[in-house]
Amino acid sequence: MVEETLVKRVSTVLSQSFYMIVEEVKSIYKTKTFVVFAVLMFLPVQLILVSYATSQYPQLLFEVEKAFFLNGILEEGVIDAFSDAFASAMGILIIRRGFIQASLGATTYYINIPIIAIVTLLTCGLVAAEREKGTLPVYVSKPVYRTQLVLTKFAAFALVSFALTALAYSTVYFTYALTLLGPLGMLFTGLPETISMLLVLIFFTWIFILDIGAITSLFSSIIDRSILAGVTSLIILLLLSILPNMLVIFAGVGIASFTKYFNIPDLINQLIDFYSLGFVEYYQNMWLIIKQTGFFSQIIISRMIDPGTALIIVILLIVIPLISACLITEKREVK
Amino acid sequence: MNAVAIRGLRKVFGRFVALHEVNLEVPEGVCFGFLGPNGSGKTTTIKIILGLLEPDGGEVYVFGRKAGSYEVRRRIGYLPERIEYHNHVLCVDFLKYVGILNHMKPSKAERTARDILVWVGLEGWEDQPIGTLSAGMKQRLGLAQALMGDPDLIILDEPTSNLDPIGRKEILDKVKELASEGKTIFFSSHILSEVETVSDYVGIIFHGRTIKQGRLHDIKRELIRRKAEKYELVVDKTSEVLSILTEKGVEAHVEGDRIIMFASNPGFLERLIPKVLVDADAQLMKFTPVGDTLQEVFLQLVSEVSLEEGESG
Repeated sequence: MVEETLVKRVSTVLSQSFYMIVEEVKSIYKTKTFVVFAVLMFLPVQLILVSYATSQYPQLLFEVEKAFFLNGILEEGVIDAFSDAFASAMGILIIRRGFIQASLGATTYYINIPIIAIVTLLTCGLVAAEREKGTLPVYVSKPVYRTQLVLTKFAAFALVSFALTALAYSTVYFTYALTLLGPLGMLFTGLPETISMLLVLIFFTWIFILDIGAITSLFSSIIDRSILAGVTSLIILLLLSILPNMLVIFAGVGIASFTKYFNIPDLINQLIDFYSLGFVEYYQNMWLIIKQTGFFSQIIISRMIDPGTALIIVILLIVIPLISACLITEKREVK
Repeated sequence: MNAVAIRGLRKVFGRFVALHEVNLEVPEGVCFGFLGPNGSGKTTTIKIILGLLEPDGGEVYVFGRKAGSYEVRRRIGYLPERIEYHNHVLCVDFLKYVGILNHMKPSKAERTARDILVWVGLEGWEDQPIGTLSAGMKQRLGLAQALMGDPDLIILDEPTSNLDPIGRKEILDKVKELASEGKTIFFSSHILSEVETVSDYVGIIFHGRTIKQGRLHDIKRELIRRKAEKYELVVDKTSEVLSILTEKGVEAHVEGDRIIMFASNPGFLERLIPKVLVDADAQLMKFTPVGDTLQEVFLQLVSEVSLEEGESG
């Protein structure tokens, strides 16, 4: 037997991993869970967007009118000349407020529990299902590192979930922008003003999905039965996202200084808020909240976290569980 | 060189000792039958050879290298005893994935997969989901999977369990074909007749210990020689033959139409019976040692070991 050089081994492993990811992606598309995932990604966002935009329309109209009036544009006889500008401004405002706020609401308040549930379901079998089925012994007795198996499966999941998230939000965004601004308006006014918001929304929703996926993968490598792994991580993730808020209500605001670091939906919510609004607007909003008194503003203030810290936490919550899952799979015997 | 060499292998699960001491040598290019009743440690041994389980003692080498190492895994194909598949995956896609795990390029993996599927008799099922296959077909798919990457050593863990006689025969025929191509096959089973039909070498394991190994032919002959003290004789003049036998001092009695005899030393009865038949002018219908099937040999071996264990324990 001829020993390979390190370079050759690395290149073999990399090309092999690439082919493995391709095959995994192909196989994910054929699962039923994936279809449910896709539907859940699309439907709620759309429903909430439509209802939000309809309910908020008078308020937004008022704000735009006020802005035009203050700028002297809305004087008699001038309205017609600026009707296009008025429509654009209205459209952009709806996209900015309506789309982003509604999607934000959708991501963090309405679909966060369905997302947690479906992502858990989709990733709980990452290692456990192969153990259960008895295919893991076959795979790991081939010339392949176990870490490769875990990482390529996760990478395939990451790719698919990114495509789905991007598709779900872009579809809604472009439908919205096209109806409100028209093709030209969307291209020259809408996109430059609001595209960064869309990207931020897609990116952090994806990070949220990866967090859930990585944590579930960890349980999947520890627990032999995939359904048990899924339920365990589902319970833990739901507790992490619900318990902190409940604790704050029952045990006082002080507890949030500790629990806020583990509330993943809340971290993501704040990150989307921060990066889509921008530094100035974000802190202006915060300032408005701080100025208010009352219990709920207290809760919001108590949960505030520095965006940099939040970003590091949500990324570590992907990396650490994933590395642990790899190490555990490497070390554990395959019975 | 030996394909597999195991010395003093020991494996413990918690407080249960699965393997006490396993010693095996599987020469290259043979079809090795690994025999033992259920729960004797066959699967555990195989999983250690594959590197799926870590041994608690002893040494295991495959092609002269440590078992389970990356280089060794390139040369092994493995069919586990119990395997279920993801039902929605197509046969060819599953094999293609296994091919990629064996460092094949996807296009080559797919070609090889289709060829192997035809070879195992799954022609026309290549693009069907695995869920639609029958148990026998799934087992053939498992065999196909073990052959991806053209391995030098093929390890089959009870490949015929859960199959009907036809399915069994199909798998065994394929195993024979592989053996005739010069592949080293490590074949575990608790059904002796199967091993008899395909293997030339056997190792017998019982309660986590290898109790016998070598050429099947040699083992059988030695054991039969040791064991064959009981003979069965069927003739037309039963009572006359019986009386002559008793005269000559042979311990014999009649069971139905057969005479059952016990020989004090090997070969004695074989020389005596022809003379007795001539004396009695009797016609011979059947003369055979009782228990010459491998099944009985095996049972005897196992009972000997149990007896020893009982005495020592």
